[in-house]
Amino acid sequence: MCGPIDYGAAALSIYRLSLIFAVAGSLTMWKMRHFVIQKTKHKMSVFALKPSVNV
Amino acid sequence: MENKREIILPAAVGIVGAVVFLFAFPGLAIPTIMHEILKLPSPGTGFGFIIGPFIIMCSLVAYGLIKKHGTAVITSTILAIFMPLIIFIFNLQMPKPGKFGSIEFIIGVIILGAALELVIYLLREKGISKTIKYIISAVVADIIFLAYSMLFIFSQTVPDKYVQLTINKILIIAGVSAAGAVIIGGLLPLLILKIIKFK
Repeated sequence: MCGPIDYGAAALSIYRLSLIFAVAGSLTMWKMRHFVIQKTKHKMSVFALKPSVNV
Repeated sequence: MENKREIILPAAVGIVGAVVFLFAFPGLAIPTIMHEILKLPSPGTGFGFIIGPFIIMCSLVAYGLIKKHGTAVITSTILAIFMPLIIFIFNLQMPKPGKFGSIEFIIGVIILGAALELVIYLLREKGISKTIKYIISAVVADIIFLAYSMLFIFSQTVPDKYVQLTINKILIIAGVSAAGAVIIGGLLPLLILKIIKFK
């Protein structure tokens, strides 16, 4: 061990790191929203091509 | 106007980096995670795996945005100056063996930035891909920072641990540091730059 230990600080650090990654991920998704929507639409178009059944 | 941007942007990245680092790793978080949770040998793993790569990441993000030589040194110097300033202003508790905010620490961070700059300059030829360039410069700069911290910081603060260092321990610490440098210092800035420049 290099120095005194503090599990509270370690837990707080992991929580804050996950918070930072969550915020960064959200900002990334927001910036890339048009790209994501376009890709999702493309994927969804596969289902849209299925013939509809009229009863 | 362009010259102003070359100073302001690295300075802003350095300040934001210092704030984010001190927010993400409060108090004794780094030594506890490194040596108690991950059971990695001491001393120097925190410096090599987290602190060094984090500073490299900030410097390479600034360099990638401006693409001018000298940016990495400016960013690391601003980060090295602002980190102790924030620690002093908010009276933050930091791990004692690392001597955060001391002259030795500031010099180490500036050496890290200079080493990064030197390797980027040496690899400036067009033949090398950006990813390889970033990874090599991050690993070299991080290992230099680790060696400096071992010789000039940990040998004074934890001499008993420093004396107990064996070849195996040094290899583990260097390997972990190189892995940190590749992931956090080399690849993460490329991802961040890609996201920033995405249109």
